[in-house]
Amino acid sequence: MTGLAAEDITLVDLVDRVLNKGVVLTGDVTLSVADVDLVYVGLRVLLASAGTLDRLERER
Amino acid sequence: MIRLYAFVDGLRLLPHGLRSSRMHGLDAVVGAAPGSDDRVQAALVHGRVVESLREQADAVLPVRLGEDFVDDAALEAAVAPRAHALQERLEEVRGCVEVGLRVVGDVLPTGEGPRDGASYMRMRLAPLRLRNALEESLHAPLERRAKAARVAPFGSAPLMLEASYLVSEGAVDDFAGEAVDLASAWPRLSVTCTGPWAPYSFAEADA
Repeated sequence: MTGLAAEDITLVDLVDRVLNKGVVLTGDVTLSVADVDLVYVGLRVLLASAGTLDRLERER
Repeated sequence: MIRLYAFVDGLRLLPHGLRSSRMHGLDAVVGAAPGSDDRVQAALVHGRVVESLREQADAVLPVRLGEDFVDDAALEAAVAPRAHALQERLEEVRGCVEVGLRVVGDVLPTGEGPRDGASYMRMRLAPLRLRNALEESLHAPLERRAKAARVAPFGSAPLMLEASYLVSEGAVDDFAGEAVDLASAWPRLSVTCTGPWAPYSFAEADA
């Protein structure tokens, strides 16, 4: 894992927790569902590319 | 509008600009809700606040981003029906942190498509077999070491396993050490342990 990728994954993990986990009192989130989906899709892409980077690194 | 960040117990230091409000036997950490801002940025700010609370409190129950209320009275009204359950959760996570685990990897050799029906079925089965093996030989030993664990349902490759573990604060190094040891059995996969985090995944009983 490159240093950058590991750092990215840590950020992904933090944002994933903040958006998707924790106590929910109202269910009335400020972020619209579309916004969250967009952020989430972006994070998935980031995560996938981090995995790809890692594989390329090993195959080099 | 006020924004709710977490419920805490034994807080030693409040992050700058926030205040603690006592209600129904719980200490709620709140601050002025920022206006519309960049979504990812808002998530990072929220996350950093909660992590600093984790460092400064005996127990912290993180709240998901976006729990905003008109005023303290509105917040109190929302807390009232859940107060007992929240107190129980807060006790469950006292002295504990969350460790995240992600396993990412490709299952199949690249560039090889299925030649026939049988090889197509084998290709479809490969990720499920890998997932089962990871649950048995990586997740299960970690779960035994943790106070509690949550596993995300399997979606699709390359994200093979995503789990969170509730671990005593003093046991994080040993736990991570075991994760690294176990991961060495999977040299082709990328196994990442992150944390310690505030116990987000254990904040709701049925999360």
